[in-house]
Amino acid sequence: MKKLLSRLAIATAVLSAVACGPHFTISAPQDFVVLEQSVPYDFRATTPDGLVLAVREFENTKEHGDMGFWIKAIENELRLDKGYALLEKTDIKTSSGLSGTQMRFGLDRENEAHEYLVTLFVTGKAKGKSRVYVVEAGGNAAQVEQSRKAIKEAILGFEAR
Amino acid sequence: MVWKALLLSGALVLGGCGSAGAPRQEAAYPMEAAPAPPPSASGDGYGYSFEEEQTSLARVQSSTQAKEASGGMPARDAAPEPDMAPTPIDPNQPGLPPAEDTPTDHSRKPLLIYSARLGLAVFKVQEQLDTIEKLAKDRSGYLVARSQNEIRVRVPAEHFQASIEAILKLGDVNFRQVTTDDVTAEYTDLEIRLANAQSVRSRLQALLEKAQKVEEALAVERELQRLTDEIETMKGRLKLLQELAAYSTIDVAFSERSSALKSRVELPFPWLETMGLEHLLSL
Repeated sequence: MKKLLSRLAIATAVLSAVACGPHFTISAPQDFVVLEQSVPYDFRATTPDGLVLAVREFENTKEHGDMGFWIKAIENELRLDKGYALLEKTDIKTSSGLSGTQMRFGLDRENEAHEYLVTLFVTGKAKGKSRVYVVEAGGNAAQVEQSRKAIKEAILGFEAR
Repeated sequence: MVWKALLLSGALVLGGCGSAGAPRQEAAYPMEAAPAPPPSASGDGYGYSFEEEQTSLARVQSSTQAKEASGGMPARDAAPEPDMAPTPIDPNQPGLPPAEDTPTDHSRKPLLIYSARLGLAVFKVQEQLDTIEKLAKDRSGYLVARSQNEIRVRVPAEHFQASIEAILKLGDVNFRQVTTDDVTAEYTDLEIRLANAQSVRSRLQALLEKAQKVEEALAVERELQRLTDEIETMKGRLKLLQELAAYSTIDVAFSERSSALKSRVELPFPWLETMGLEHLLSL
């Protein structure tokens, strides 16, 4: 009986999480279309050339990792484990006043330069509900350059709820 | 029998000369002032410090590495060659004290060979290789070798520091290693041995002219040949050391970090592993 109740509780939690939907809003950049099937992303949009912008959110209530923690964790993962070149790291502020940090990575794949933008937002106060939002955008470096303005606008329009 | 005695003494002098057996004299070599020390290796242009960086500044090593530094890859462009003629030393010059009484000269400028190995992350590699090649040429340096993801350039020693700083700004630095080899002692030793060998050769040539018998002449000629080979080898080594000191070698490799450097704690957040273009672009 206990086992059944426990499974029921987990299922309810999962269902409620799914039902709640994402706790953010973002508009697809110009020339991008939103994809319906986006797992493991909560939002994903693409251009016909294969540039992609995606958003993921994670509960941060238990860990309460601050911006510095998550930035370093992502940086280590991409630089040390996956060989990306960290080209730039800047602080940004969205139109709604949300502060974030953006990292610009580069990587050659099959002799072609690719760019990968990772923007991180951490919301919530200590001891309260906290979430991490990761906005990723990337693709062929030349194409990213062409769509840079549209991607930037979309990221600046990001809102956490 | 006088010529035999001279041959024997010549061989002894050559064999034992250098730090102990030879008359020591300051022999000037055409060397520019030693360049400024290599750059301080802190920071990477982003304000980070990388734990795997291995910067050993002004690490004085034995001169045995100098030979290796010159080898490896074939030269594409001809390197300018500095004036190489060392000043010969006349051991019969009056007023020279015996070698063992000669105090070590501490005022002499050191002959230093600078070299650097830099590792950058893989991004726009061909473009970066072009930039590094141009950067070296703009500083009166030259390209030694270039492959798909590696390049070796040589720049005048006085431009070594500036060149490294410029290259480090090109990308994300995975590692850097700067070394300095002090070859002053080897150079001085070679100079003395060369001067002595040349002196002995002059005497042998004089002996050859006075030789009465064929076998005597042949023996002197054999020794002359051996001595000439040795002189040429020493001249070559002196030239190489001067060239290595005049031009610093910079190797740049674009590569992923070696697996040995990846041994770090894996954080218990599986989503971190799905970061990257591989997942993002899998539609």
